[in-house]
Amino acid sequence: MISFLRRYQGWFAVGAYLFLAAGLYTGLVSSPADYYQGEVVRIMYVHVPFAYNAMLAYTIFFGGSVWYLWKKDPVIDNVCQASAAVCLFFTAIALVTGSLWAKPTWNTWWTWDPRLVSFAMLLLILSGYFTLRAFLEDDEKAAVYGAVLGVIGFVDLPIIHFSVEWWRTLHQPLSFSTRGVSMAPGMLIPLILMSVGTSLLLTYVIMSRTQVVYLRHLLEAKQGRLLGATKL
Amino acid sequence: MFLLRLGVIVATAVVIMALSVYRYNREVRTTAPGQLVYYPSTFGVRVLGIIEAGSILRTPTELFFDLSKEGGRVRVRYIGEKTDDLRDLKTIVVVGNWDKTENELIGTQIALDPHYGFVAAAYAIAFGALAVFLFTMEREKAALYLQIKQEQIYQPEI
Repeated sequence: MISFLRRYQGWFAVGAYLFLAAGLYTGLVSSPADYYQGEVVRIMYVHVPFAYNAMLAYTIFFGGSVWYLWKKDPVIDNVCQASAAVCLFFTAIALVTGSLWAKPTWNTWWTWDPRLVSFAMLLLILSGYFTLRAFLEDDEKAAVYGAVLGVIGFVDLPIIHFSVEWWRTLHQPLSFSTRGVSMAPGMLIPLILMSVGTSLLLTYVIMSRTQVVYLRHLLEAKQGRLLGATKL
Repeated sequence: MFLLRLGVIVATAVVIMALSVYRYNREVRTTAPGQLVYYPSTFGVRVLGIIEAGSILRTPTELFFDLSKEGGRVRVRYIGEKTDDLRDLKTIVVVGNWDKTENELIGTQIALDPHYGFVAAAYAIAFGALAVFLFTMEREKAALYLQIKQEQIYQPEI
């Protein structure tokens, strides 16, 4: 699996580069300003892709956790750790860019809105995951408990997604739903380009990060064995 | 190879940044009312300010008001559309030409306060953090592969 990741990761990196370059050009240079929000709407092209890909990363983390609990494959645990780390990073970026968008549009950096709170919960769940893993010395136990937390934490995802439908909220409603797409084509194109680019980047980063986690464990295992042999 | 890839990414980022700055200077950048005296009459300007309370005067064809910010003030003769959007104490951008002889700004369009600092900050934070994240990850991955290669970890242990 690791050799597969190493062989094909480059294609995702090239794809991400092309889509993100096109997305940044259309988002920052050629797309129009919004009638109500003006130039500030350009934050959407960075905030929305990172937020949506954070949820995608958590879905991979959830899938990996279920798989790990079923098969106990250590490489899948490496995928879980990699996707959780990327999810944590993307969630933090989505929260910061969201806050920067909120200040000029809502006149506040933060509000206790269902969408914002449920998204911040995702950050806390992932922080909890890494804290849990750091405190457990037994790797196998850490992987099992981490996977259980990953499965339980998945409950937050539908809450994030439907929070704007279920509760009265400041956050704008879903732009893509069964009711159709509620966005002008001039803004839709950069958003799609950035979203696809960020998804390809997410795939590349998870592939790379999985290798890093795997190699770290491999080296630790080797050094541990050598240390054990020296002691004997 | 790593440096070549890094160079291509940095070059692309610089080109997109340069285009964004060019567009910002041409279509978004605003000036304060106190700075208008430096603009020649034929050059289009975008002036950001607050409509002074009680200064709006409507005539059948034109609309006059005072725009102020940071101690500076300018008289605006607005001849464009969307006049219903204009009200006291609203922060707006007036797009038009500075008439030196009449000492007034002839406005043809109004726009929203761009708040472009927030846009720039969002992109800088997101992509700056992403660059650091990717760079450290790639370096670590390369170092780990090198270490494993040097330690010949895949060789059977004796």
